Amino acid sequence: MNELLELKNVSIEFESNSGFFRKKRNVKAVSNVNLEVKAGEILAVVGESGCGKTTIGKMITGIYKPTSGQVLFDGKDIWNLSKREYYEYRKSVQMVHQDSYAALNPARTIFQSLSAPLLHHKLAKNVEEARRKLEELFMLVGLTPSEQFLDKYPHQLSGGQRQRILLARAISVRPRLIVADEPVSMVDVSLRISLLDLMADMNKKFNIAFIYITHDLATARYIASNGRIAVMYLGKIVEVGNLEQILSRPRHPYLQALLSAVPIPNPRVARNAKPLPLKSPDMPDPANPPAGCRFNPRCPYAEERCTQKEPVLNELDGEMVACHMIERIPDWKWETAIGIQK
Amino acid sequence: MAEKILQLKDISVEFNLRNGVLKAVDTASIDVYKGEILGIVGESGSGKSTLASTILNIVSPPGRISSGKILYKGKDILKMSAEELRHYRWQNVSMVFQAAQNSMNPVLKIKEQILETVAAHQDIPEKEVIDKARRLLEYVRLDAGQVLDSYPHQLSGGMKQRTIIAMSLLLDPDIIILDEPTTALDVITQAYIMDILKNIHEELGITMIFLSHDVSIVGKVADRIAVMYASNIVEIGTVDDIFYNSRHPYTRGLINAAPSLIDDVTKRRAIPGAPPNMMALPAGCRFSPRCSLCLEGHCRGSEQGKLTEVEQGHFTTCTKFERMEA
Repeated sequence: MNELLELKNVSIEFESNSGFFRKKRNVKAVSNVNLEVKAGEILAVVGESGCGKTTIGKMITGIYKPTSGQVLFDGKDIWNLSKREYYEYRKSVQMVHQDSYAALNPARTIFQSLSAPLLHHKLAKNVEEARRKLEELFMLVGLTPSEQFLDKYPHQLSGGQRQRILLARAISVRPRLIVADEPVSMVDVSLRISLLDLMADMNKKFNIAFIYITHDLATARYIASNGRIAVMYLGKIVEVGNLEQILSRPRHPYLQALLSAVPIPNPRVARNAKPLPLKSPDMPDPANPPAGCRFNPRCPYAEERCTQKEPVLNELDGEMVACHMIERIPDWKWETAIGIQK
Repeated sequence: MAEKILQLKDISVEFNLRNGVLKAVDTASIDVYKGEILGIVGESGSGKSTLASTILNIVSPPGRISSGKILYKGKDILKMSAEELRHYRWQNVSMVFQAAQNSMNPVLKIKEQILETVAAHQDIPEKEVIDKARRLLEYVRLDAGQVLDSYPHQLSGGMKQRTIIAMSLLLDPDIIILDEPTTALDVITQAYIMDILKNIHEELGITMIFLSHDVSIVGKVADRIAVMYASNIVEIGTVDDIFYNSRHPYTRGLINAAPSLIDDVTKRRAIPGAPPNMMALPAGCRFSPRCSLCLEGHCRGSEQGKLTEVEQGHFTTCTKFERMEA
């Protein structure tokens, strides 16, 4: 299958604000990441705050320019495109943000905000046609009757509705890839699943690839159950591959700890949980990551070489894992970690 | 049954807004037993934080407690004098607020904040306070020497939250209220803090009231759970009652809506519709427009049920709960 998007050895450094007397220091938010997305697939990018997952999303959408490495769309470097190709790329890659209120202009009605991209990309000849198209689209995303939404201002709508509108806006220009950065984390729990269902639906119906960026493994599993997952830790990908395979048999000690920490809505099970397989709960300063494997100060299995040499992603049973000790890491099983049968 | 340390009786809180009166808590009644962990679950806007703030009598204008009684060991705190309240807060009942990490003074070292807090309530020599703070900080598994000498910005979110939890224990309160104590923290930090809270509870036997939107977390630590929806308490029961024998369609919907890592993903169901606009509540049962019983025609939802005991210690407002599928 063709790669729709590819990150090749991508790194990005930010210059941190330096005080008058302080030395400048660079923060490497993402370091040597390789990742590809195929047309029509769902890829979940998972990690804790500060791991660089949002930065990756912003590099894919062309908001940040990598310090080194390449972002390829349809095999072409997005920072080296002709004007027409760039225009096509901008249309094909859309983003859905976490904060739906901040992502909509508060002084414009929904129709004003959403008709602009249609007119700009010449997907609608005039305002009337744009309105017709949006009405159809709103039916599709479950915002009916559409006239109740089109002429409202963002503050008049609920968070869940606004999130649907953002999704409608992203879909309206018929993209091939949508980067969704924590799209449901600010939405009420009772509504999250319906939004995830909607995204999965759009994925199937229009063959739009999704990159679902989240800290929440449970929602990642829900939306990307047939897709892939990339787990990040301090600017690096530590494990990537088929989601069902990885979540049922996590290899990297960080992912094993992360999975053990996820709350389960089943108290009889949750109460039997064992202590986390971690040496320390605190994440190191991302500006100053530990030498060697970045996980070594917290890793219960770390040995000397883990503090000296950085592991690279190696193939193992069809997935990729970056760990020196991989042969010696015990199998992590739901049964033993949380004391039940899956 | 253990002693009722705190009793909320028919508490209502109203906010007078420009376009009408918003009832953030509507005649809520619940007893808190000594030594238990009570979880209060509800989505954003359901009134759980407002309910918790009534326990300390800190509802701020335009909100006001418009009816009801709050009895702490039999004494109505709404009738306490300012001086009595000052003693009651933090010494009897302390609270860890939502996003408490941000409630520290950024220009004071942790040590100074601790001394200031104690000085406002009790007359204890400085050295004694610091010794106690040191013990408590070690208790929440922090390096006490380092933390005491740090400014808040030098600590991570999880460390700040643990510091705040240690501070809430400074004056040996009987009850701690924890309002979303782990929201905005990473899952690993969250699991770690929950573990610490459980230990504190086991070792000190302190009563805890734990508020969260996340049923999974509450289910893991609480003894009993109260579920709130649209400013009402709709169900109260033990953790087992709530999770495995729920008598309210909303509770069941909420638990089924939480994506999980272990269940079959295809079994998850969203609750249809959206939480109501609090200024224009549906007539009758507030959950009726989204309720499976109503949608399937088992109930017309025309009446708002009262919280009624249906089994020993298990209360629900749903009048048609027998119709729910097992």
